[in-house]
Amino acid sequence: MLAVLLGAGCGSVNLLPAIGIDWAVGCGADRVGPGDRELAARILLQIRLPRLAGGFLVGAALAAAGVFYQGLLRNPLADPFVIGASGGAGLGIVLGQLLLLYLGSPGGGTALIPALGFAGALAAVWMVFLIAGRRGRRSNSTLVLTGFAVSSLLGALNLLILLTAQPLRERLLESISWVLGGVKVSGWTPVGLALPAIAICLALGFAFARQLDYLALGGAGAVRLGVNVARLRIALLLAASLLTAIAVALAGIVALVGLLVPHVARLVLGPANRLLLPVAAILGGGYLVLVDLVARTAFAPAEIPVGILAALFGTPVFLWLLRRNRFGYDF
Amino acid sequence: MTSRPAAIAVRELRLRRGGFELRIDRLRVEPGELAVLIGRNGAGKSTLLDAIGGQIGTVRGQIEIFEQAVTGMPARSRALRMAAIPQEFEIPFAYSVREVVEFGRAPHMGYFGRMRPGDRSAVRAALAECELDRIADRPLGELSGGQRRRVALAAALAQDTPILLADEPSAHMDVSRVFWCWRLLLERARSGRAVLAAVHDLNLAAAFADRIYLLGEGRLIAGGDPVSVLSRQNLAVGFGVSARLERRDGRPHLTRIAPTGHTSDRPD
Repeated sequence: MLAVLLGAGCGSVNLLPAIGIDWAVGCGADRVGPGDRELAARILLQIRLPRLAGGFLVGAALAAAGVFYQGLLRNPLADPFVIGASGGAGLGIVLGQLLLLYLGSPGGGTALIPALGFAGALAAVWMVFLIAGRRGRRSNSTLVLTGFAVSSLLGALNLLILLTAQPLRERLLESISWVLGGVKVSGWTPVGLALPAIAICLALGFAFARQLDYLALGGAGAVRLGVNVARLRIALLLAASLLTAIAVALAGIVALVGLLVPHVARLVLGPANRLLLPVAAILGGGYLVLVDLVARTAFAPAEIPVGILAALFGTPVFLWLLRRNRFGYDF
Repeated sequence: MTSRPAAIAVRELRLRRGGFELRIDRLRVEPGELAVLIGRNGAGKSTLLDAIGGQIGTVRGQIEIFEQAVTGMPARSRALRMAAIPQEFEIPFAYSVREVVEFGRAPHMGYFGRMRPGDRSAVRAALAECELDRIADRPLGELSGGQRRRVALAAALAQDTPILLADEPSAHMDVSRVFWCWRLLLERARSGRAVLAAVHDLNLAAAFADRIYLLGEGRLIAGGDPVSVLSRQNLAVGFGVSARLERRDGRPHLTRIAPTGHTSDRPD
């Protein structure tokens, strides 16, 4: 029963690129006429595939960051959005874009934007830890509640800037779809920048996956088992924040993927992080590709923000899995 | 005193945690010995166990295991020498009993945490010893409090260390399990390991301990063999109770435990 569920899940994920490619070829050929194969191929290679890859990377990064944050905080409610990292990354990126617009080079600085996002995510998480209290004093629920408050504040600041700063107001619709989450990837450059960084974060997470399991016993419990807990926490917080920043830079603020995908994977596979991390990443990537596909085709040529659809489809599936779970999965 | 190295040696320990101060001038646990900490709530039993376990970074004085200072020792070296059963054993996410017992093998495994045959057999033995075979695949969250204590015990056994620290190891266990648990700790000690356990039930201490340390308000009130520590005066000072010390099957046993009526420090 489980194997069937798992097989179907992985199967649909693995099949997705094929479906995407078929659709792209069909659509491109349709519009440009049956003769012009060359244009169709260009659309496929320069527009569809980068976007597909970008969507996959965003989903994988968010799901992996969710696994890290949930494990680090020992809290099933933690994710990049709830803990404030998405909001911080968003603020960093918006400020960065504003800066570039004032400097008059909106096209340049492709690496600067994610770097500012990373700084923003780290600053937000650091602020949450600082406000929530000193080591040992803070409880996990205090941390998550603080994160939620900081996250709301950063979201409000973000919107305020987008609505009031003159150069950004001219692109209001674009901004709003970014806030609600939309895969804005054109060409291979952003994918090429994001892929190695994400790969490094995932490899780092995989190396620490077993230690992250031990951390379920609490900081003291992990120390008792010989884990260098400070190193583990710093490494995975950095990795999770970088993953969040990359995802936000590529696709704006997509809520719920980082929270729900790790839980869905856990419901099927159990909580051991070494298996959970790669599966959650693949599942998250596949899920976002699927959602993005619907987002740009359902009301074509208009696009629905991907964040809305991610929540619309993800929540019922998650609730269904939660109802029928046989693992004694406990919040 | 023997010249053998002590498994645990505490000398002139002074530490503060919050408003609480712990001062232990001298405490030793030898290999092969089951030592028991007793004392009122808040007397410092758990704090002392945490300090010996290396959980408290800044202490004055000396805490040594096998003649090596506990603080400053790398966490992994410490984990190879010393396992601890904590008072609280809560785990988020649905880790199974087997997975949690496997955690105990952490210090023995390589960097990437791959289980070797030796690790698997240690986990199997610990699960069998704690009679957890039949519930090994159930998530920890589904178990009762007493069963969860057994999982904590099994994880510590799987860690396979010469020193075992246990904070209320038999809490939440039913009455037959309590005796089972303490017999197991005693066997562990008799196989050459050092066991230091904190407990509230004075008669468990009386029945199983080779040596008892009585703590009160962060200080050592008495330490030694059960009969001398469980004296009338020590019970009055340490707990504010009076009791009759009898012998049962060659072991000391307290009966008619009752409050002395006043809880002053004055001996009767």
